[in-house]
Formats: sequence, C-alpha cells, structure tokens
Amino acid sequence: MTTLLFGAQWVHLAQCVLLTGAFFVLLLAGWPANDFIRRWEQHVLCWARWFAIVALASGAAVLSVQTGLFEGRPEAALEPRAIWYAMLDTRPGFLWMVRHGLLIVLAAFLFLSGDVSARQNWIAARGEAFVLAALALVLIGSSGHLAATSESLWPQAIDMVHLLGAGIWVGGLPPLALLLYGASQNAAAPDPYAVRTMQRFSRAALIAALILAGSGIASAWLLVGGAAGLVGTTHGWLLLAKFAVLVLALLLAAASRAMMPTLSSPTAAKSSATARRMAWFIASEAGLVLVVLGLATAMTMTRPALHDDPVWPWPVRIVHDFLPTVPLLQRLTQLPIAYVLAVSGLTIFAVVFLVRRRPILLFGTLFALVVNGAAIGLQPLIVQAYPTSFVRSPLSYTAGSIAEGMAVYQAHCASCHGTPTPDPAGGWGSAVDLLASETIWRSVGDLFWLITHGRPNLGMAEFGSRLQEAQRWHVINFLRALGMSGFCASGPSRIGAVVKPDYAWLSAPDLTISVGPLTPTSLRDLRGKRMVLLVLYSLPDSRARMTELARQYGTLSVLGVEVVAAPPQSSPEAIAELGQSPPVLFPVVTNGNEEITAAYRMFAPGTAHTEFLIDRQGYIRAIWRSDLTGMPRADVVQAQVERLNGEKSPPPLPDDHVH
Amino acid sequence: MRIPTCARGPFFALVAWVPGVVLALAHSELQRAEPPVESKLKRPPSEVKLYFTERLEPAYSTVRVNDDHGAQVDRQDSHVDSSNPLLLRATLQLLEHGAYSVIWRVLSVDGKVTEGRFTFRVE
Amino acid sequence: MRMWQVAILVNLALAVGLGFGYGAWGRRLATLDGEVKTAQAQVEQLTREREACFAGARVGEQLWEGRGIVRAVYPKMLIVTHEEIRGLLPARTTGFRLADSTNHERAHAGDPIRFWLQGTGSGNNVLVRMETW
Repeated sequence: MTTLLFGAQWVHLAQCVLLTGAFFVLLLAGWPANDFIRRWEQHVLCWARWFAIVALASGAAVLSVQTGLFEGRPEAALEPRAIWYAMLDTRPGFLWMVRHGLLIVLAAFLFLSGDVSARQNWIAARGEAFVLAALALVLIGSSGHLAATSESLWPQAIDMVHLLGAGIWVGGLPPLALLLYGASQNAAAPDPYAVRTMQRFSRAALIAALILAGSGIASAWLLVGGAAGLVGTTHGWLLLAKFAVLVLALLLAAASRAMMPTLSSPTAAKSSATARRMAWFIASEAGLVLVVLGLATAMTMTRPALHDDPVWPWPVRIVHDFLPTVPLLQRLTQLPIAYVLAVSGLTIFAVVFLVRRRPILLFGTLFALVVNGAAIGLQPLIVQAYPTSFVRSPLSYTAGSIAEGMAVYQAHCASCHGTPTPDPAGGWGSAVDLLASETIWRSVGDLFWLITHGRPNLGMAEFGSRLQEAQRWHVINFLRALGMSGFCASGPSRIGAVVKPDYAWLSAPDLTISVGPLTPTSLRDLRGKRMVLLVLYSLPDSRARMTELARQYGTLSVLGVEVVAAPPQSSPEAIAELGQSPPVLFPVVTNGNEEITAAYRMFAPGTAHTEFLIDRQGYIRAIWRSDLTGMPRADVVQAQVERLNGEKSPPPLPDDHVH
Repeated sequence: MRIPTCARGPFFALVAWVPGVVLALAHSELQRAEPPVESKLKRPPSEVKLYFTERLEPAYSTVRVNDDHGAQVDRQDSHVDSSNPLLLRATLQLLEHGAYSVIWRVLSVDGKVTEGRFTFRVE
Repeated sequence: MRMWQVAILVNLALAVGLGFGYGAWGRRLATLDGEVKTAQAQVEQLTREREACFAGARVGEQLWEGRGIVRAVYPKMLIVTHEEIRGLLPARTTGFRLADSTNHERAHAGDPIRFWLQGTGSGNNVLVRMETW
C-alpha cells in the first residue's frame, strides 16, 4: 500500500514539475519566430498534454490509496463513498480538490487549441498555462509538515517557494534538452533563438537555485534537528542520498554552463557539436533530478528526523551541552590547546612564506593544520558513544517515575553502586561512579545502553533481560535527578534561598496535584502561567508557617504564585488537619505524596519543612529549609518572587519531548 | 552573473543541499498524555487526554482504552477537542484496579497516519 | 473569442468561484458552529430550570450540581474548592451563601461533598443541599 502511494506521488509530483517547467521554457523562448522553434513548441505542447493526463490519473490514484490508508483498510481505496468522504472531510482532501480542479482547467486549455498567431494571444495562452501549472504545483506545499504545525502562512510559504524553484529548474530541463538536440541537427550553426533561450535559462536557473538553497535550508533547520538525526535515521540517510545525487546533477550543470561560450562561437561545426553535447548533459541532469524527486517523495513518507529515535553509527561523539558547573571551560584553556595554537600559528607563517606561489600546497597545508588542531583541541569534548546515544526517553520526567526508579535502583543496583546516603549538610554521598563527572556527560541514551548491555569488562551485568524497558527508563530518570541533586546543594551552581537572576538549570520533576476526589491536575499545567511554591510540610512543626501561608496566599496569588502543599504521607484528612482558622485555600495534596516526597527530598534531604520556588518555565530557583536557613519568612519569599517577576528573558523550556 | 572559479564548487554544493529537503512532510507524534505513559494511579481517571505535535483531522482520529482482557472501557466518544486541534480525548467508564492500554490512531492535517499504544495501571 | 480574452475569463472564473465559495462556505460553518453551541447551552439551562422546579423553586430559578472539598464552614457561608459547575463556574475555590434550611452542621474543613445551588445564576445563588461525596 505504501509503495503504491510512493509510486503514485512520485509520478504526480514529477508531472506537475514538468508541466510548470515546460511552459516556463516556452515563455523564455518567446513568440516563435521561425519554423524550427514552432516545430519544437508543438513537440513540447504534445508532451504537456500527456503530462496533464498522467498528472490527473496519478492524482486520482494518490487519492484512492490515501483513502485506504486513512481508513486503515485497503478495500476502502476502491469504495467511491469512502473516497468521497476522504476528499470532503479532510484538509488534504480539500487541497487535492483545488489542485485537481486547476489541473482539469489546464488540461482543457491544452486540448482546446485556440488561435495563437497574434503575439498577445500567444503570451496569454502560454502565460495562463504556466500560472495554472505553477499554482497546482505550489499548493502541494500546503499539505506539508510546515503547514500542519502552525496556522500562520509563513512556514507554508517556505515549502511553496521551494516547489516553485524546483518547477522552474527541474521541469525546464527536458524541453531544453530537446531544443538543443534539435538545434544541433542543423548542418549550419544552431538556431540563434535556441542559443538565446539557453542563455536566458542559464540565468533563470541560477536564481531558481538560490531560491531552492534558501528555502531548503530553512526547511531543513525545522525538520532535521541536528547531526544525530542526519546520520542516524532513515529520513537523514535519504537526505544525504539526495544530496549526493544532486551534487552529480549540479556538476553536469556546471559543465554545461562552462560550454556556453562555445555555443555562440562563429564556427558552425564546433557550436553544433557543443549543442549536441549540452543536450546530452542536460538530459542526464534531468534524469538525475527526477531521481531526486523520488527520494524527496520517499522522505515525505518516513518519520522526520526530528521525531525519530536516531541510531548513532560511530563509537564516539562530540559533547557540547553540559551542566554549567563542570569546568569544561577551564579544561579548554588547558595546556595542549595553547600549545597547538602557538605551534599552528608559527607553522602557518612559515608555510605561507615558503609556498606563497603555489596555492594548492598552501591550502592543503592549512587544511591539514586545521584538522590536526581540531583533533587535538576537541579531545576533551569527545566522549564514548553508543547506538542509542541520541534516543530520547519515552517517559516524562515525573516524581512518580523518579520514585519508581529509586525502588528499582535499591533492588538491583545498590548492591554494586552503593546506596546514595543523604548528607544534610552537603547533599548525597557518592554512590560508586554515579555522581562522578564522567557520568554527567552521559546522555540518557548512553545510560540506557549501558544498563541494557552492561559493561562486562568492568564487571557490570546486563539488565536487558532482567528489567523491562520501562523500568530501565525509570532508573534513568532517577539517575538524572541524582546527578542534578549533587550540584544543587553546594558548589558554584548551588540553589539557595536567593534567586540568581537568569540562572535556571534545575528542572522540577512533574508531579500530580491530587486534592481529595477532585480531578487531578499536574505541575505541567501551570507551566507558562504561574509560579509554584511547593511546600513540603509536617505538622505540628509547620503549623505556624502554614498559618502564615494561608494568610499570605492572596498576596502571593496576585504576584502570580500558586502554593501547593504536600505532607509526607498520603492522607484524606490532610485538609481537615490544617483547620480553618484561617481557612487554607491553596491545593493540599492528598494522594501520591510518597512519590513527591521521595523525588523532591533528593534536592533537600531530611525531614524538615522545605519550600521550593519553581518558576514559570518549570525550573527550581530557590530552596528554603527550616533546618539550614530557618523557617522561610513571608517577606523573603515575596522578595524572591518579585525577583523572578523582574527577570527580563525567561529561560528556555526544559526538554520533555516524549513519544 | 559570473561565479569565480574557485567558489563554484562550494556554491554548487550549497545549492545541491537544498532540493533534497523539500517536502519532508511529517507525522503527528504523541507529545504527552493524561494519564501519563506507564503511570500508576491511585484514583481511576475519568477521561484520557492525548496531546500531539501536529494538528489532527477530526474525521479520522480515534482513541480507545481496553482493559487487560481486551474489553473496551471508554464510552466510545473519542473526539478531537474543538478548541485545541492538538488534543484528542475520550471519557471513561468507572475503572477498577488493573492494567489498561490506550490505543490511538490519528491522521494529521498533512495526510499522515500514526498510531501507537501505551499502558497505565489503577491501583 | 481571442485567446487573451479566454485567459482572462478563466482566471476570473477561478477567482470568483474559489473566493465566493470559500467566503460563503467558511462563514456559514462558523455561524453553524455558534448556533449549535447556543442551542446546547439553552437545552442545559432548560434542564436545570426543570430540576429546580421539581425541587420547589420559584419560576426562573435553576438548579446546579457541583462536587468539591470544603475548606471552611461559617454560620452563613461555606468555602468550597469545586470542579467545574457546568453552566455556572469553572473549577476554582468559591464561597457560597447557605440557605436557612441547609444541613451544614456536620460539615468540616476537608470533607468531600456534593452540593446543589439554586438561583437565577447572576450572583444570587444559595447552597440548598449537600451530601457526602
């Protein structure tokens, strides 16, 4: 079914592109001034009639196959009723109708031949055909990914401009090849109108190529999402294959362009031979880019690299994102780099002086030096990689997942890695290896590979057979929290009682706010809307503070803060225990408290009354602990909230893209 | 317009990059779900909400929830939210303790079908 | 007819057809949507009025049902964190006046309750009945 769709879409796209290009070249050639051009034009018009018929037929095939896919059963492709609904009830169906309406009008235009002997009639006829074909082509861009993700017209415009560029360049090649071949059959010099058309097309193709470059880069930026996506996914490999075929096609184009001056040379035989050669080159180029169209169609049918799990093919990778406290920058200024720079600088001067007359040697040596320098200089940034290094976690980073991971860790991992022990003064004690700086570098995909396959040479068993995939991902969420907790208690990135402006890195695990039998909401729902003051309290010690919070809630609400209180144990009596003088009006969690406590206590060990100030983007910005800093005071909390409100640029959202 | 000889190679390479990328149409993926994927809940949820990365076609997007015997436990009213075309929802009957699977199949507005499933438990 | 006249005619026909069709069709859809929503809201209001009538209310009053958790109890008022009360309030914490006949003595902060509000909807609703949820 999918192969059928691929074939039909490829053929349809190719016909639309060829129709647009054919009329573009006819317009470029101008009103036919002699018999030769007139005969060529009739040829191209005959082709165009066939293109239109095949476009309509393949379009119908595309619609029926898509109906089968929409409904999920192949028989639906042949049911008129199902096809009718697919066409009318969906946006792709509506666009199909509009485009094929245009194609039908174009076909009618082509088959009902009118009188084009007068120049203005000729321009009207060819121009109208070009406009209809181009419209039918660019509207394909309206049913693309860029159109699906946003309501505004500008992202669709990228796809549309790209299609127009492709239509002009790719579609124009076959008629042009035919023109030059016909011109070369003359015993005399090639027809001057043919030469003029070739020159005009050359210029137009350059502009079309620039348009394609710009819109393509914009599109790639939005869809591929990085080196891992490019080399590790089917979508990325198809893109690289297209790139390779296109390079070949463009080399042919460059060669043709280089032959242009010879075309208009006074020697008849020479320019005739050139014309024939150019015709062959252009025809081959056309063949290659039609293959490119096929690869492009295949790409539309694979999951885009941005949303796929890439399989990393090499044993190493370069790290460029890291926790701010790891002294990468210090390592960068270490000795080897300085030496490399100094030595390279001196060598460059020497080489330039010696080989200043031989550009190739110069460029070659410089290139070798740069590569060498990069290899040495990037050493600290190169880390071990595995096939799953760039895979993203399918489970969101939630308190429940962390608590589950903690349980799995205790059962399976603590025996070798040790139990992280809470140290009230300075955060968790070190579990074997897991808080070391090497572990910080590892992506979640790295950890998943190591847990699944173990490290036999270091004595770690493989857990792929002992733990389900979900359990392994829970442990990884726990390890993420463990790693971050190591940094938040002490050191330069410490999270204390004072908010550091523009410094957000500790993402708050999502939690479910379940108050009695009311519908639960989650911390995620408040993201982008309100700040959250998460209060881990226990009665009777927190009684005074809870009374103060109840009184202060109105002011805090106005400042944009939601207060969420969670006692350590799940209990339906929690609200009753807080009493009603004054009445407590903020949410008090009564279900799932153990998970919230387990997860958040990693950032503030112990059992003392603790409050976390979480900003609107979902980062923990301040932590108050009654045993360290004393019970938080109302004015202090308010002051920090005002600091957050005053931040100019909000931090980027923490990544929770899951599948 | 003349391109200097030595710049032709890189220029054409740059231009070559491009047409490849066009029409990389995409599919709608599940961004997050309520109840969350693989979660354990103390109280049974009254509805499932699935948030996707792309706008959905209401006519061809459905979700169903089965218990561990395969019986359907949603009220067969799955629909795309009228105010948010990225949200697919369905209400549920009262759920007992046990494991449930959520099976979804959606059509995004660029004409691509994606489907998937995940489970959650009620304890 | 000359070719260029044909070309202009075709363009005009396409533009007019697409433009008018989309304008009329698209706008009609939006209007229909609005009408359906209004009709739905009216049906719900009539249902509520009928239920209020059964409960012995005056003409024009409606009866809403809500569910929530009590936060504070006062002699004449109850503060409740409730879920969405369809046709009246979104999910939030509200204070409701108590009717003289309401059985609120046994309510305490933290109790989950189902409650009924009676009134004409524009701010003069009273909580007439409650029971444990």
